[in-house]
Amino acid sequence: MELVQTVIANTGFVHLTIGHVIMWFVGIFFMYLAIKKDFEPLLLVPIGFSIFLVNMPITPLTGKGELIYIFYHYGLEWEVIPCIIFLGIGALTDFGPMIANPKMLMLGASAQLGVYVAFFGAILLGFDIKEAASIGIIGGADGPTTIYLTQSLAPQILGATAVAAYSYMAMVPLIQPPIMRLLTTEKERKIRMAHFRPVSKTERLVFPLLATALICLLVPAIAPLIGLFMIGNLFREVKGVGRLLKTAQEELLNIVTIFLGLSVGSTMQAENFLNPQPIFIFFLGLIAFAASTVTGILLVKVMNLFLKEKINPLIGSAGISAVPMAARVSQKVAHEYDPKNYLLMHAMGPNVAGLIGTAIAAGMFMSMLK
Amino acid sequence: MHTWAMAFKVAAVGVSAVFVGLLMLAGGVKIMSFFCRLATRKQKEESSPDSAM
Repeated sequence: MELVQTVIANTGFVHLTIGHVIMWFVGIFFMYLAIKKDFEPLLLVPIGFSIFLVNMPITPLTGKGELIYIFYHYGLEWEVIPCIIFLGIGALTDFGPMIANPKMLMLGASAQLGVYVAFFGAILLGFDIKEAASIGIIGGADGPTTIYLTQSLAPQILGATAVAAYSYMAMVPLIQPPIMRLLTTEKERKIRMAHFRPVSKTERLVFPLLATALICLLVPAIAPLIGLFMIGNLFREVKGVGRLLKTAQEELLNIVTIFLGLSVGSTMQAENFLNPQPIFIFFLGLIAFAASTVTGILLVKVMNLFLKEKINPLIGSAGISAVPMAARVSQKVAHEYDPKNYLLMHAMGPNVAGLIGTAIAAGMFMSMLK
Repeated sequence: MHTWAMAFKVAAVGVSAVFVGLLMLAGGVKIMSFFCRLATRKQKEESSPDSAM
């Protein structure tokens, strides 16, 4: 009889709480968004399932030395995973449109203003300054940078900020278009931009070195992220490292994406997550995201007052770092008003500039607050 | 009050750094492109048949 009682006491049924069940539904909701709505399935499937799994009571998963704790400790706490993800993203990124038209870097800068809108909003809601910085950076729509900064400044809110960043990245096609239509006239949406000049191989080879030098000298704190981003990009441009490029773009990126998803999801356990704070973080993340979209578009409108060759303001919203989703959204909205207007490559300029801009913003937060 | 003062300083420096950083990069890219195109033009001139004469 005692043995039976011991066995029953060691089942999860006895330790199950309403909080666990709520988190199961949260995990299932993320998986639903990924599977049924096709929202960033590569990320939301492992994140959603990890939330579901770690909220099974008394499972040996997240305690010290246990499986998912090991992924989290060596991947996220040691900040390895975000850097390797950036290696993969660099290997996939084409800087050609940005090199051809360096003005687009300014659109990447203006889209970071939303970070600071949410930063102040978070302080207003009672978060401390380090937490506010970690919440604000969600506006950059860059998952690895959000994780990198949050782990450094406010690891206690890593789960909420990471999930918010990746969720909003997945919802770019839902969040941005209404803002883009609100802030632009039909005439502006139909602006056609001239083809940009061809970019030579030499320029593409020198750019990663130039960018690494300038950014790491300005913001040394962000060297791990930018350094790996640029070496990934160099792999893309150098002949003879095809194997390294393929690994960086595919196998390595896929492996760390799995560990990232499992680790991020594991931070959302019922006892840590079910309080008002994550709800505020999600709300502020949305504000950050929307504000970044607004500021990106508004800067284009200001620039157009002074430029002879107008820029289509729809590419201003691509200044957030959700590469290439934000650029695709610019193309899609432009296409609705002029099916022959091909904005995608023009929008890639601010899109990749946004990645660098968010990294600089995060690096400055780290320099001043760590 | 101290938090707000710090926050304004952090935001002001951060925004400036983002714009200055990307401006520097834009300037650097322009200069780099100029020299790369100059080098490409010189290479083409040297390898053209007229230069052999």
